[in-house]
Amino acid sequence: MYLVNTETIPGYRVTQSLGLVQGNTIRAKHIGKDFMAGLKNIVGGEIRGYTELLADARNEAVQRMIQLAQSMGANAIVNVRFSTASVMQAAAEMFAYGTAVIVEPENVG
Amino acid sequence: MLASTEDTISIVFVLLGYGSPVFMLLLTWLVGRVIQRRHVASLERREGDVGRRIIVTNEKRLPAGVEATSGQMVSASVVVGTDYFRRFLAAWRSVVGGRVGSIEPILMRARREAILRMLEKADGMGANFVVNVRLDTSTIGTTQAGKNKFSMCEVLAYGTAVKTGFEQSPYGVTYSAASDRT
Repeated sequence: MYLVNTETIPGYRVTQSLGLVQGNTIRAKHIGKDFMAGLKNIVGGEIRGYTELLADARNEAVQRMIQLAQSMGANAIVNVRFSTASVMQAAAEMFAYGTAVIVEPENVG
Repeated sequence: MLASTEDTISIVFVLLGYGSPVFMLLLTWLVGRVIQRRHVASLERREGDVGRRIIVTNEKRLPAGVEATSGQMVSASVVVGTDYFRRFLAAWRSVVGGRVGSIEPILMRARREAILRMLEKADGMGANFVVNVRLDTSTIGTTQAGKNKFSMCEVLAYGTAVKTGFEQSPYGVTYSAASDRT
């Protein structure tokens, strides 16, 4: 599965466009990590626990999007975009979307 | 949960000073300065290193004449918070209005960090060009200690890493971060 956020993949030709695919996940805050974040928010700097938590969540949204694309018979997703939204005080939604396509290598030479 | 040495030291300092606002302001001003200086030094070193090998653009496609065989998406993010001292300054600023200079460097540092992490991933994949870079900033809610207005922020950077035949930039310039350094 090729995943790009450009409209085309260099060296490949889009033969068929299968339509929009999307994946999301909503994650609530983690009590232990939130406690550490609370302390870290007094001195400032990166809050690593949350960086990992959100990266995991985003990865899951991408995996769901990929599953959907695979079920449609696609071998690539182009024009991928991410979006994040706070849905509640203590939860965030990670959303990934793109266009499922079938690509084949361009004849070189 | 594992905490880095930097985290542990700052938390010990905070517990020492907790309860005394004046002491807290002084302490977080000092610790915040140290964290910022170390971060900026690290950013500059890595930008000089990776930035020399990879070209970044937010244009949708490769410049005309540049050949590439494949591409893969890379993304990286960073979550940042502010310190007590900066929030104190920002709270004052929001009374009178105007530019909140104390928070600006926090977000700019977060962006540079997110872009760098993305570049380091692309570098690990052997790419030398990242196209169609997008930046996304979002607020992710307040913390237990977040009685003040500014909560945590996440900055996400993503783009498509490609390997091109170019060793040097077709633009004649290599990547350098925003001109207003903090």
